[in-house]
Amino acid sequence: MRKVKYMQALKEALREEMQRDSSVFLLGEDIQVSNLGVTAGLVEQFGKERVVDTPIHENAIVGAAMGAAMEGMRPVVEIMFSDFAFLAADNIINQVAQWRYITQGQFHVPLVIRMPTGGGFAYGPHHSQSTETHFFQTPGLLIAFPSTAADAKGLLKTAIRSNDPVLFLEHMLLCLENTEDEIPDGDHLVPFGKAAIRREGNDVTVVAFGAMVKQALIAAESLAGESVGVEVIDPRTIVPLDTRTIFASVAKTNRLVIVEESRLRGGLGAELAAQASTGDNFFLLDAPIERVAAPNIPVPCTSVLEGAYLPNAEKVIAAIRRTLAYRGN
Amino acid sequence: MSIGNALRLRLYRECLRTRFLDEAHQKYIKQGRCQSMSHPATGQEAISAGITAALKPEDILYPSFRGFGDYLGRGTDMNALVAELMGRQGGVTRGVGGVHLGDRANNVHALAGCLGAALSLAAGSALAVKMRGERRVVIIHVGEGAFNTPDSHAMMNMAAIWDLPLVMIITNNQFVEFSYHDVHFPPNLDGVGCRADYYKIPNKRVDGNDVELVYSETLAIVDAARAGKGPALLEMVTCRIGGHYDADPLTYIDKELVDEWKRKDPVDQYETKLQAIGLADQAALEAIREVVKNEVDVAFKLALADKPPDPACLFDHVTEMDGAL
Repeated sequence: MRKVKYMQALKEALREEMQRDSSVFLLGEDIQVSNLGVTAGLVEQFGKERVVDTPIHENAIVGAAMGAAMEGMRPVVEIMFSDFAFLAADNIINQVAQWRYITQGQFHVPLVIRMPTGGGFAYGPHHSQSTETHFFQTPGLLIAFPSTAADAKGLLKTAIRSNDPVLFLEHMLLCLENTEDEIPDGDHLVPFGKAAIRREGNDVTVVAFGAMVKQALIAAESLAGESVGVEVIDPRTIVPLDTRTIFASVAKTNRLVIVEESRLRGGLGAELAAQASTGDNFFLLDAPIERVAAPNIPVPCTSVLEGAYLPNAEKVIAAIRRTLAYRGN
Repeated sequence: MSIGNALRLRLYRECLRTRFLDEAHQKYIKQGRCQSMSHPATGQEAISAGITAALKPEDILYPSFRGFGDYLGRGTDMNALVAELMGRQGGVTRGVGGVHLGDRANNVHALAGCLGAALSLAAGSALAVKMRGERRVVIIHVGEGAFNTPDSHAMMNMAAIWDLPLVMIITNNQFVEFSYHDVHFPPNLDGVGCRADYYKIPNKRVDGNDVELVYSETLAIVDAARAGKGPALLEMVTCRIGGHYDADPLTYIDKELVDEWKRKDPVDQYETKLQAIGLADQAALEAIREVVKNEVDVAFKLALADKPPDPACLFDHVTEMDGAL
C-alpha cells in the first residue's frame, strides 16, 4: 500500500495502461501541458504520437476517437470540463453508445471519455456542471465516478480495458485536494457495478456520488455523536449501478437519502427513489425518501451563490433528520 | 492507365446491381411489404461502382447512404443485405440495424442517420491506421449536404494537421435532401470540394457519370494516400434523378435540370462505350442485365421466405455486459 493523491492515482492508471498496451493513447485539448494536471508529464514519457493535442473540436474529437477505437486502438479522450461534453453529445449519444447494438456486435467502441466535472470553484454555469445525468438515460454507455484515489486508479484501469465505452468522471475538487488515500500496489483494478460501503450504520442509508461521498461522511461523523448510525454507500459506477448493495442496506436501515451534485429533476436520486417504490422495495421504507441535489437552476458564479446551490454536509444532515423524524411511527 | 476488360465488365455489373436493387427495394416499399427506407442512387450509380473497384480488401470504407453500391461493391452479400432491408433474421444485423447496417468482414462501416457523423469517425480510423503504420486507406463517401455539416471542417483540419491516409469522395448530385444549393451554399462558389484548398488538401472535380474516370481518379488518390502522400478529395459531379427517398413528393424538382442529366445517364453511356470498343454487344449486355436482375429477385424471394426477427434478441449487444443496464 502507498499513499497517493487522487490526481496522481489517475495519472498512474494512464501511465500503467499505456505501458501495458500500445494501442492505448490519449487525445484531447492541451493534454500535453494539462492545465488541471492529470495528464501532465505523460507526453515527455510517451511522446506526441501517443499524447495527442487536438484542435478545439469536441464532437469531432470524440468521433475521431470512436473511429480509431473501431479500428483496433484504445483511445482515452479528455473533454476538459464535463459541461463541454454537450458539444460532443451527437457522437457520444447517437454514435458511441449505440454502435455495438446497431451493428449487432460487428463493431464495438472501446473508448474512455475522461471528464473533469463538478463545482466548488465559482467557475459558473459552463465550467461547474455535473452532466452525468444527461448521459445516464443513454443505453450503451458505462459511467464511472470515483471518490477515492484507490478507486480513481482502479476504475480508470478497468475502464481502459473495457470493451464498452465509458464516461469517466473526475471531480475537480478531488483532483486538487491534498489528501492522500491508500492505494494497493500492483495491477489494481476495481470492477464496475460494485458499490463500496464507506461507513456502516443501522439507522439510515445514504447513497452519495463523487465529491458528495465526503459530504455524506462528514454528516455521518457529526450524527454519530447523537447515536445515529449512518450507512454511507458509494456506488463508484453510475452505470452499472449496484442497486443490490443499495437495497440490501435499505432493507437493514429502512431509510434512504440520496446525495448528488447533479440537479434534482430526473437525477440519480430520482432513479433510485423510483426503484425504491417498485416491487418488493416498496415495503422496505419506514420514512419518505430524501433527495439532496442541486436545484433546477444554472450554476451561479460567486462562492456565496454557488455555496447555496451545491449540496453539502449540512444539507445532508438536515435530510437525515427529516427521515429520522418518522422514527417510532 | 489501362483498364482491363474484366474490370470494365465489373464496373458495368456493379452499376446495374445498385440500380436494380434500388428499383426492387422501391417496388416492395410501394407494395407495403418493406419497412426500410430507400434513398435511391438513380443516376449516380457510377460513383459507388468506380470507387469500390479502386480499393483493396483491407481498405476501410465509410459508405454513402444513397443506394447500396458501396456495400455491394465491397462484397457485402446481396442476400444478407436484402434480408436486412426487409427486416428478417438473415439480415446483416438481424433486422436491428436496418439501413444503418455495417459489414465489418468487408471493412464497410455502419451508417449514422445524422449525416456528418461519419466525417470525424473516418478521420479517426485513418489516424488509427497511420498510428499502426499500416498500408491501408480510409475512404469516406458522402454527399455535398453531409460535407457541408460543421464537422467537415474538423475532418479536413485533422486530416491535414495529422497528414492522414484519408480519401474523401464528395458526391455533388445537385440536390441536398429537398432543396437546392442556393439554400446550402453561398452563391458564386467554384464548386463544393474546393473548400479543401484552404487546408492545402489536393482536390479535383470529376465527371461522376463516367464510371471509368471515377475509378481511375479514385485509384490515383487511393494509391497516393497508401504511399503516405496524405489526404485528398474528389468532387464527383452528377445528378440525383429520383427523389431524396422513396416517398419524396418531388414537387420541387426542376424537370429541365433532371432531363438534361438523364441524357448523360451513367449506365446508358457506359453501355454505349462497351459496344463501341467491341467488348460487348447488345445481347451480351442483356445477358448481364438478366444475371443481375435474377440475383436481386432471388435475394428478395429468400428474404420474403425468411423469419422476422425474434424479440428474444432485443437486449443483445447493448454492451458486453449481459442484458440492459
